Amino acid sequence: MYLLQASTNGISVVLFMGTLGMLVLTIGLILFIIFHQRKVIRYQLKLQQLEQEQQKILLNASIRLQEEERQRLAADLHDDAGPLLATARLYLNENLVNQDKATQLQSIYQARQILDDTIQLIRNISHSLMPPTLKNFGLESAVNDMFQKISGSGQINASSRFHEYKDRLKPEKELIVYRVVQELVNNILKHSNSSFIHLTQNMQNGSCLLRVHHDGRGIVQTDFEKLNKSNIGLGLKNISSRLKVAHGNILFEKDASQTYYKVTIEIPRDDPYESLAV
Amino acid sequence: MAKTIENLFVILHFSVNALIILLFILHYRRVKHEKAFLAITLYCFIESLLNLSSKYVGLGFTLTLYIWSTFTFVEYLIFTYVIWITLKSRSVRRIMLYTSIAFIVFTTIYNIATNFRSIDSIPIGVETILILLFSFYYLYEQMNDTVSLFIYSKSHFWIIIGIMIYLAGSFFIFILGNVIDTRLLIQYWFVTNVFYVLMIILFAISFFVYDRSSKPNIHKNLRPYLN
Repeated sequence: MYLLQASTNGISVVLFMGTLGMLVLTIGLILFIIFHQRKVIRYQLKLQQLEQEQQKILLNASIRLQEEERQRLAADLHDDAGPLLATARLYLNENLVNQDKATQLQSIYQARQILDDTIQLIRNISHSLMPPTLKNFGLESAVNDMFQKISGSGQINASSRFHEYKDRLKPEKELIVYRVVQELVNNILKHSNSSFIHLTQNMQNGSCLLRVHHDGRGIVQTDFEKLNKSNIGLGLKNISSRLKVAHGNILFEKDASQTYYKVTIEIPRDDPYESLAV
Repeated sequence: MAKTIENLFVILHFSVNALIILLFILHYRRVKHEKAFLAITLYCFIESLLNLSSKYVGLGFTLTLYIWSTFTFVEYLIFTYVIWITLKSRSVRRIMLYTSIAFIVFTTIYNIATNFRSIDSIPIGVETILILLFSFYYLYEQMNDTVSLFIYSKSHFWIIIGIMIYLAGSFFIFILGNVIDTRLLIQYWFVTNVFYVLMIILFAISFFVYDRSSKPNIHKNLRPYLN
């Protein structure tokens, strides 16, 4: 009787403990999965939010840049072209017919001079919007032209060399790369106090690589990312947004000798089925 | 029947099936194309029929055991089907199919070869382990699926955790049902009723979750003439 009682108690304990164990395991697993999924989804939402904020900063930078560009154009037209044309008009006023021939010729000559200046001014404005060398001869010529002009100033030694650029990028991509190089060179001239700038172009794994070296003060990738997320550094944000459109990358680093700063721009070659996500 | 808490669960077990059938009828328009709801309603309907026939029709001990062992097989098919339709991985679905064929063959041979003296512990044990494994895989798949909504906002989740809790909670009673004394088995049988009721409650929640998630709420905050 005692043995039967002991056996019954043992089975009861096994039943109780087994059932409890199974339940704890199952409920524990269910809870673990619920909380894990919640955590992952929250993390993803946070990432999405950060991405959206970054997009917003880039968009704002792009809008600001457009506005600045418009203001510059408006100022150029209003302050330079406007007065020049007004002056030309003064020379060619109605009273001109009543004046003697020598004065008439003098006025016409002056008006022509002013009109020539205006034409040159408008041409310069137009070239700053879309460099004709880039449009007609491509990125290589446009970049070489830009570097020659910089070098010609005598302030800094600038050189560029394209090694593998037989197949040109699409015109839209060339313009993006040109603007990015222009912005980088502009930054180097403004902030780095360097004595030389050197640009090289190569192809690697189907991508077009442009490397810009200089020996002045520069930034590395962490600085670039920090500036990109902050409210300062409009030019850098503009570089980011332009490269995003071309599916390109940029890397700011110090070279192996720790002497020079190096900026590498990577642009994937054109896919025949790809269109720019503008 | 004595008025004890154990008997309350026995009565509840008999009556909760009606809740699912009622919910299915009430939500028929919305859930008629949802195979999982059809499957669980069918399960509750069969369970009710068997309960009633066992209680009110004198079938005899062996025949009753035989019918309930057949129900193990039906239960396995229904639960596996519910999990099968929710899984995304084709390879796992194929594995489930092969495992089910093996389980059917095994249950058939076991039922033919065994003299029924007690409940069919071994097929129930195998069934429970297999369904728990499938359910774990379902949870694993849901854990990795972070694109979709929170796991508990899906009706399938409530059905599957209902199945898991019922099977996990009654596993040891069914397993030991073959070896322990009948008196003791009857004494502890109410535990299966508790988990069965819990499963049905979770099934009922799945109806409400489905109802809530299927309702379009785009016009919830719409104020005419203001928006």
